[in-house]
Amino acid sequence: MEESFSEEELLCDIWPEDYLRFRKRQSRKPRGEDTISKLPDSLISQILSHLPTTKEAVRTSVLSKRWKSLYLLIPALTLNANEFPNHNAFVSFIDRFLDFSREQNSILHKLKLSVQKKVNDPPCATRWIDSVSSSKLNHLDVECLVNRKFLEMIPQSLCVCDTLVSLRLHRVSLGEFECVSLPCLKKMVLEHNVYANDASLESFISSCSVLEDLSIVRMAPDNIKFLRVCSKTLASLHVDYIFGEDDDYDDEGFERDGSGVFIDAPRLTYLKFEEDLSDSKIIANSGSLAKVNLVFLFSENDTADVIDLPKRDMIRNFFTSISGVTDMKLSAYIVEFLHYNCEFDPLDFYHPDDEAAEIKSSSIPRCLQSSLEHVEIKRFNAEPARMKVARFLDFSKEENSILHKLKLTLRKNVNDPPCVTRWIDSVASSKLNHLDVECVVNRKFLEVIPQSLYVCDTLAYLRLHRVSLGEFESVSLPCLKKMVLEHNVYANDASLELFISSCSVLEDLSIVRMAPDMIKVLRVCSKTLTSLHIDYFFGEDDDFDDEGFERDGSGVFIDAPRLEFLKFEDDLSDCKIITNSGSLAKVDIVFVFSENDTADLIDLPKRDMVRNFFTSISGVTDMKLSSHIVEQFLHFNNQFDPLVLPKFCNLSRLKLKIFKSCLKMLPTLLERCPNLKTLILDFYTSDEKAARIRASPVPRCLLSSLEHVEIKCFNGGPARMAVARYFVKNSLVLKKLVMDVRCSTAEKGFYFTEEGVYMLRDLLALPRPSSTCQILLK
Amino acid sequence: MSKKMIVLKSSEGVSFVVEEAVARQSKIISFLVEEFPDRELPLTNMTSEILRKTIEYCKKHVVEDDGGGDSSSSSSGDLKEWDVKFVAEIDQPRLMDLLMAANYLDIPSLLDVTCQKVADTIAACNDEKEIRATFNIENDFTEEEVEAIRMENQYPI
Repeated sequence: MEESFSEEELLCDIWPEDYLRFRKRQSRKPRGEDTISKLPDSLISQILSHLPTTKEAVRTSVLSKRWKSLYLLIPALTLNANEFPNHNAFVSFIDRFLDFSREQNSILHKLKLSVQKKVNDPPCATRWIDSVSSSKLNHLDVECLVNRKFLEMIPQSLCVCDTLVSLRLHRVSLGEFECVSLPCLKKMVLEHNVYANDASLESFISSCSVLEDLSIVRMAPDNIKFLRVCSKTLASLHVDYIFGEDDDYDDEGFERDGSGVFIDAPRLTYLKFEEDLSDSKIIANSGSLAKVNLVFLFSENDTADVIDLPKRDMIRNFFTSISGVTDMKLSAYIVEFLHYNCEFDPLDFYHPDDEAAEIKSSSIPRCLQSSLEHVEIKRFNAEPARMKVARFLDFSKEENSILHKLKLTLRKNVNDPPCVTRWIDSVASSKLNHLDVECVVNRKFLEVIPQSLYVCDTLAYLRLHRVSLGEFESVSLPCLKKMVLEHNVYANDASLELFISSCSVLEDLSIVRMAPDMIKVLRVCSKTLTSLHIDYFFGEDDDFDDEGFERDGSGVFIDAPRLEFLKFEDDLSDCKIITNSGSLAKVDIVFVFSENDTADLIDLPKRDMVRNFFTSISGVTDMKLSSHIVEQFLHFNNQFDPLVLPKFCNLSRLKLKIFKSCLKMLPTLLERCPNLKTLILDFYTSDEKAARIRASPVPRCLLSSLEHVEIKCFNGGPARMAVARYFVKNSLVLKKLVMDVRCSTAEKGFYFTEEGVYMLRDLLALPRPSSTCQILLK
Repeated sequence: MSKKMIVLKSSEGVSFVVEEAVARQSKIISFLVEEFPDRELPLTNMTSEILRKTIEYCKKHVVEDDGGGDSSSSSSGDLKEWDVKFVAEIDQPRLMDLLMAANYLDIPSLLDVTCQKVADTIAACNDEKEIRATFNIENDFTEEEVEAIRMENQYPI
């Protein structure tokens, strides 16, 4: 369904008529003026900081004298050593930049440096960081690629940088600090660094009084035995720990005993854990934790010794501390760990017991099953490995599960054994509210819906896509409000009719039929239905052959006294009848009759049927007609039978999409809508010539009721101009003519063409019979 | 509930009626609205055209706060695409004016997209000659001076 427009949305500013005059004068401005050099230094340097590399900013220094030093003022500097011919050039460039920046008191907000050093190169990073720490620096990102035995020290000044918001340090050495005061630091990334000792890192982290996001990627050895993250403000934490593979690192000397991670962050909501190198893992105060992503955690060492009770307790406590989360992601490694471990100690794993728990891992551990309420299986293709999941669904019946929502999307080959029938059967008897099953398989091999689904007492929403609905003994779906049936095959006309009419509270129904589906006449009879969508098309895949399609005798019959909204897209079946349409307020007609329906002029019963269809919807207040209806049907039909279209006396809003060649239909259509208030007009893109609109007689609604006209995709083309002129000249009560230029400005630059400006001026100059008429551009 | 409207006046004296929420994206206007409520705000250094463009941008980017949390009128992806088209259809002199307007009115996001557009134009040039030609910058250096700057920068220009 396409969006509808409220009165408010139609509001827009008055196009300043002065602007048109002004635009013309502007366009005669002499060319060749240097407009960029007029900008103040601060703006040019800001532009330069948007260049992809600093190299390009430096390039501008030779443009002219004005530009010579501008690049030195850029507020954000990003430099990578590999852009320079050698280390010395890199060092002297940065020194010069930072000196100038200090002399000019210019403001450097962001510094990002990637340094590459040999072990003999003199230190530089310490000096640079020291030089910028005292300014108004917000972002610092320093990466100093050098053998880890020769890391540069972080200066004391950085630890008291008042303005720093984001900090990344890669391969540096953080020594002992006298004091730490980083009152604005919210995000910190520490990677491959070396630290003074456990206590200094702990105090560094806990001294950041507003830190929210911390990522620590440790590389052994880093002088840390026990990593302690204690923070009252931290919300997101990532912990990783790897062996230093380069730098001739030798992991023989790595001592695991006594190593560990301790986390005490009462506001922590997200944790990503990737470290299985250290021994002990403890999380305290994990009450806020909502989401975890466990990649590496415990290694085989942790499970080798079955009778190591303290270790077993530690592992169990770790899982207990994360057991309050609502969202968990487990890597294949963790699942493997659990798989081996559960045999020894089934108490290890505490399942999350929140409603929205969603499993993202590719396989689901058994222990999770009893509390899950929502299952969504992605990329399910009935491979043997994924078929194991079936076990989970099969179990849920025996285990008295409380599955509320099940969404399955399967892709099956014709030879795969049936499974959907069994699964639906196993969940239908539970407290299921929401079922959505899509089983993509050749339509000759659809799976059958089990009997139990037809009597599911709790079901409120049902979507079935590509299944077979056979005959059933009884239907009782006392809670079903919304149903979507797509591409299914049914037993016969009577069984589908009974199925729909037995849903005693059904409000919203969508039937997308695909031929062949064993249905000749679709009968929708419901006392409760308020919204209905009907579609019908040929099955294009599955080697479908439409030669055998028999149109005669096919049809749609709708009897739903409470129906308010109808969307109709079926022009395949022959006969369409709507009775009891008194409540119908809004229709969207995309396809309804085909050329077959208009071929035979003297087929009186058919003419009556077409006429009756339109009469039955003639009480609506809001109608949308597609270009197919206007062109292929009304345009050709109206000449033969002007009575085919009745009067739509209640219609206040009409949305039309038409071909330019059908424009002469417009007055005829409007004549049938005597009380129309709002008209929204869209054109079907085509190159054909526009037809003229007949000037008289003027449709009645233009004289008495039509207040708003909106023309979509207004590009100043002749057809749209003609329509705009027609309404300005002929409407007596028009309040607003809105030309929606939104899609055309970008495409054709309508504003800026001389032609467009002249056309608009002409339009504005036209005499307006309606004194209150405003012409607006949107 | 009708939305509060304010009036902005361009250098030519053309008045624009804008929703307050739209105009408040400018920190300057936000400040002025509080200082001088119910007054027309004259923006004497801005032509109607530039003011109209600025308003067009602000309208697209207004975050509607109807109590139901933040709901921007478009998704962030669509907005980005719209921004690109928006600056693409403006010619160079007017782009500079718009950039100055964004700076003057203090609309950081508009300043960002206009600066990015100019930067992209510079980056698309192959050498400094092309940059000069694109922006009509007059070269007041001698060959020797250019060589000296290159030496001094020690950066492969």
